[in-house]
Amino acid sequence: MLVPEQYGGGSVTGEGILDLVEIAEEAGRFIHAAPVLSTNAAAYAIAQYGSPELRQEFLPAIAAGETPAAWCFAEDSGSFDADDLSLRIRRVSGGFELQGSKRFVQDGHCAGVLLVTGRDDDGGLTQVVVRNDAPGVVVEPLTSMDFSRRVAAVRFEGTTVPVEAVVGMPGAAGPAVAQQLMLALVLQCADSVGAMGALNDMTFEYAKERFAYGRPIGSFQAIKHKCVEMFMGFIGSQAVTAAAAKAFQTGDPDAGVRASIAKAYVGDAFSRNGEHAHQVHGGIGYTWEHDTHLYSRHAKFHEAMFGSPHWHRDRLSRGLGI
Amino acid sequence: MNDERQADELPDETDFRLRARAFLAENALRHDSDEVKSETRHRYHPEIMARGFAFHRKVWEAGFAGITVPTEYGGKGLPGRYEAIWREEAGPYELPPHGSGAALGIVLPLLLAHGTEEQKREHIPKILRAEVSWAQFLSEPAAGSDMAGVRTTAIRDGDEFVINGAKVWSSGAHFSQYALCLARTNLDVPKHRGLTMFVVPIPTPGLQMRPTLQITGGSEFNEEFLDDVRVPVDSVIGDINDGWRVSLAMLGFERRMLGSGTMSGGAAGATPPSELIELVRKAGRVGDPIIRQLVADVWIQTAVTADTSAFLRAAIHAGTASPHIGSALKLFSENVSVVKARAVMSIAGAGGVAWSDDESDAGRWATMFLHARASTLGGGTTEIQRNIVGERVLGLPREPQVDRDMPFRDIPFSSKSTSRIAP
Repeated sequence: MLVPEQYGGGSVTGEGILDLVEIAEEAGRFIHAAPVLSTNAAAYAIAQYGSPELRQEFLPAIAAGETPAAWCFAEDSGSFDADDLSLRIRRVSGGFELQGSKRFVQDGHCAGVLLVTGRDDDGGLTQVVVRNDAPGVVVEPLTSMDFSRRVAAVRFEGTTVPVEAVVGMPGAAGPAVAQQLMLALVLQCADSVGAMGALNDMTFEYAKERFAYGRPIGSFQAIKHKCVEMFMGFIGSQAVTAAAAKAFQTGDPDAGVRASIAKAYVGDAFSRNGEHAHQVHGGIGYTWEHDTHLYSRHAKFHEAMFGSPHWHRDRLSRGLGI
Repeated sequence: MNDERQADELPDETDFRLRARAFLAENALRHDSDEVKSETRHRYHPEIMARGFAFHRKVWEAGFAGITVPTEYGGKGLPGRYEAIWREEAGPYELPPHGSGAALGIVLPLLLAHGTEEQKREHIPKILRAEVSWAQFLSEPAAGSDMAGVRTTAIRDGDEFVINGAKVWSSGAHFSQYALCLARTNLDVPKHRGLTMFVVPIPTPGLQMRPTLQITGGSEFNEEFLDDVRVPVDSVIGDINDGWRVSLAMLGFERRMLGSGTMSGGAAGATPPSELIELVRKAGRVGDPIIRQLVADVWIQTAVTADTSAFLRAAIHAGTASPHIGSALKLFSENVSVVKARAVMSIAGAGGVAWSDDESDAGRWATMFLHARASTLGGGTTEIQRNIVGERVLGLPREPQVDRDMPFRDIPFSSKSTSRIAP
């Protein structure tokens, strides 16, 4: 959706972000494992900030679904704060050399194309595109709590890329990284909204059908009120995500704030819904075979990735000068 | 209804809009104006009430009162789109209150829906001309959430009803000229089937009103004692013993009125909580990571509340949203009050609980904290709103009700006296 038509992409309505958000939400309902976030974050970066040659080299294959892409951003500390990155992308003759490791890369071991964010020798943020079969790229799949999400650690041991592989301003990729982060957050939240909707439907249905003490358990106020909290979390998440998506689509100067507000709220709401869903389902929801834990695992995964709600709240307040 | 007027009799819409715009610019204050932001007096302050009535009088004189109300009752008889134009133009403005708000927002539509011809002709013009305020005599010492359980009786005596009982939590009754009064006209049928809604004038013989002192030290509400208050039979709104149906309609109009209030803060959603930021600085707590969490959370909850009502606005106006979704919106906004109240007390720390009377924010945060207790109770408690959302929106089954089919006389009540506030 975010790849221009000339490279084989194209949105449905002309508002690619909003179209993609709808797809992400629908995928979320089924906790679909497709690399929607990873591939689109990388594709967006290349489309927006890559040279025409770079775009031509990578976007058609990505848009055609021939190769997933992934964004290598966080490192061993697990921080999604660009200030905490230390992977080196240093300028060498003819291009760039990468040294260091990335971790928690979604779809890192499935992606043929890796967008890597690091720092040059002066500490400036730099991004390059690397093929996963380039010399020096070592990929280690991690085990993920979320069955729908594949995650990897990726090490770069002296991997080199040509100078054309740069995405955004070398040494000054901050604005590009900020935009990519906004996109990742919006897509993550949209997926969460879809998942919450499905989890809620399943839970409310159970509350109506499961009997105890001669009546449906949903008739007991304690259960009923947990369901209402789940509903509130869902409609609030839906609304705040839509606002963040719209701000991003229209290039609103508040888009970064909106994305953090959305992540902080949705991250907490989805996790809480997961806990309530387990409570309402009782013992059956504690079995492996039942779907409840697919959602609660997914919720915790989303909560931790791309900044926790705590981290985003801290960031919002720092932005207010306190 | 209003389609009687021919298309060429209707005012030009652009002209109507521009006149509305000019009127508001001349007579109303914007939400973001300094005067509005610095106003700390409560809405029932006599000066604020007086200004409110004066404003609505001007609204009527300018031809913007009762836009869709039929002309025979003093309105303009225009189609709904003119009301929509007025609402759009009024969006950025903080419109002064029309008395307690009940007359315009609740009584007017209620009378249009359920009032007699005489009641409509008697009362609606006065409401539109901002000559009256109305109160609601609904809650009682023994019946708050359980509104159908009211015990005030209205016994038929010839062409009058004689009303006896006590009412509480009546907003603005002390400056109102009329009240809607829900009373029991039949004690031998189940509670929902023996209620009647009356119009009670204020003052009237037998009616004693006293202000209720609330935990904040202020007094926004009243309690009433009705001691053989007599009203004519034509004071009944709707039919005798049909009061529950009328009550439900009244609650619907009240929900709509409160809902449209929460829907006006769309753009405000992204506005950071400046009051809190100022307090953080004054309290010397810049950089405290826990304070950062609290302040950001207030901002987030406020934004989500505004975003949710904006998101649902289209569906609400189109009528495709559940009619009870207003209860969900109320849960969001009362949550903001609570989260904000807790945050300010945490930020203010010891200075929030003890102060010198000459401090600039003397007692302000304590009052805000205490006042937040009203948001989770008034207009339907949190628990009731959650029941409404759970049952009417999510379709979860109701709890079995012990008193539903019992004659009112036989319903068990607490044996302890609940009327501490009565002499």
